Amino acid sequence: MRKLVAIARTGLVAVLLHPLRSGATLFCLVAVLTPYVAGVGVARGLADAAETSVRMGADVYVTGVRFGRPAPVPLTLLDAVRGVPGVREAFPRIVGEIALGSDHVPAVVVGIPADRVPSAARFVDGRMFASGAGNELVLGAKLARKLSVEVGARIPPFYRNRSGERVSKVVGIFRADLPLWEANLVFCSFETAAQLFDQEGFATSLLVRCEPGYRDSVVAALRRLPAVAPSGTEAGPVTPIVTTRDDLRALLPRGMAHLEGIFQVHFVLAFAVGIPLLMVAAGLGLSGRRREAALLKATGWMTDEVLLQGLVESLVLALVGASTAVLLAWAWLDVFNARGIAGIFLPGAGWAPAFRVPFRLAPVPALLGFAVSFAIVSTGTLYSTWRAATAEPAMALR
Amino acid sequence: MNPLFEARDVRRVFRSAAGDVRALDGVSVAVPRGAFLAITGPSGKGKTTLLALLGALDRPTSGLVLFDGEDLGGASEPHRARVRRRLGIVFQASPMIERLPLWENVTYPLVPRGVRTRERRRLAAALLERVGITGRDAARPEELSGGERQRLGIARALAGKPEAILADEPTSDLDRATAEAVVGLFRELHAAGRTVVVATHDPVLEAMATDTLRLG
Repeated sequence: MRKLVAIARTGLVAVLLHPLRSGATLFCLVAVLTPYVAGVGVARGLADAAETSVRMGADVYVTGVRFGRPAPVPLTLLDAVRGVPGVREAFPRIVGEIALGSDHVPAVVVGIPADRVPSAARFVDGRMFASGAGNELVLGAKLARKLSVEVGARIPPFYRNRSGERVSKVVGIFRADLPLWEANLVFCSFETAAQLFDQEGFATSLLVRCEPGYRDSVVAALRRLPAVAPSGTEAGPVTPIVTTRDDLRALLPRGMAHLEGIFQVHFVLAFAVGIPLLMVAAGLGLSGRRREAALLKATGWMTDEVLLQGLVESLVLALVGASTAVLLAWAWLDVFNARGIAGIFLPGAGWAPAFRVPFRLAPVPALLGFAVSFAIVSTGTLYSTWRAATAEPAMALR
Repeated sequence: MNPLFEARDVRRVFRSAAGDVRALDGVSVAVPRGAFLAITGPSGKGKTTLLALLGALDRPTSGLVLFDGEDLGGASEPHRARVRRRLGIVFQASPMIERLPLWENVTYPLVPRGVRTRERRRLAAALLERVGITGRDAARPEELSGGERQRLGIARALAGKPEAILADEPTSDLDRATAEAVVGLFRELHAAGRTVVVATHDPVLEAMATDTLRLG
């Protein structure tokens, strides 16, 4: 054991003995690993935020399809939903995208009853919007800052529809635990949202909360509801689609995995390019390594002892490289707010996101990064060491 | 009793793009324990090659190289490494691990033998003193003169308490005074009962030898 520890120590010393070789290897490792760890951190952070959103939402969502494509849900369906035994409450919601202000800042409008605004949104200024079509808006703090508006400000023209042009008033500003809400969301009454999108009599979804223990029977009953034709129009019927919170939870990882998967494919490509670079760096100074291995063997070291030294050297380099990459990734995400990488996962976030990008540095990607680094560095190091160690010492020393 | 080293009709051919080079062609020699063999001859006649074969640093193209009666040419690599641990080899250019301090260089061969660092430092200090390099344990090999490097190489060869010393041109490129100091060391080692094999052009070393093998 003492012998192995002594050889391992020489591997550690070898890292310091060859600063150029070690430095080049570490540089390549950190350059390849840091974006990977940071990217996965953003993906995990977004997944957490989405999970929180789902948790704060309803038990069941009713949306509609026509021609197999998403379609607004006629409000005439609401009474049928409320009539299902076990439904505690059901209310309509409109979620849609608009561009605000003269700069056309993109925002997501959520039109819901005032008493249904999620508890995660906390007022920092102003008040809640009034019921009815009062054109009153409550903005996320970051969005308000981006638009340079305060409570009492008017946003002209907020929209144009069949009733004419409307100017809306900012009555409140909120903060939320979810940074994306602060940066994107506008809350308003359901009626205001219906006018804004010129879709009166429709909702994008119906949110249903169930009595305890009734969820399955409610879902079964809702799935039996017939297609509903909107009143007052000649449009065909809309078929209700029922989605539970669990369904969303199941979809969420798939959606995030898709984004993460795309990122990972890019990363694998980057790594494929980096591997030869890393191997060259790890095997840098091949003649020096060859001569050193030959000298060790000539003075009585065995081949496996020389290889063990190289293995420990690789292990130390991989460990230092992976740890440095995790530290830099943390700095990138926390100090520099995922500048440059958030846009991969959040279209529209741009180079420098205006909101706090959620992230979570999980141990698994860091460990995976370490394992991959170790495999590559040890391949580069051990291959060159093995070639030197298996040659006759006299030949290698010539 | 077996000779410690023996070569029987040894040939060593180096293959290269320019054609085969016969470094040794049918050389035979036996070195009894405690002997002092000087291998002499003009440059390029295979002195270094024969020394490498006897020291288990290379394998012959044909013929037998025996150490203590065992064939080295066909032996496994671990067995050959174990043989090398019984030998002290002094190389012509005294290659060192340049960034390691002298004491580490001297006792690096002892690392895989599990000798403690403290013991290695103590042994290195004693060996360095013995070869005339005192108080510079922490210096780097690059700070040494040619003669000092050669003596450092001898100190390293002695670190493992070898049964035999193989030295390749240990006094070449040294001034007379330094060369005499090195010769003195070999005299001491031989007097202490060690088998010594030296490839040399140095008439002083040749004169000290109990046997001489002339190549070429």
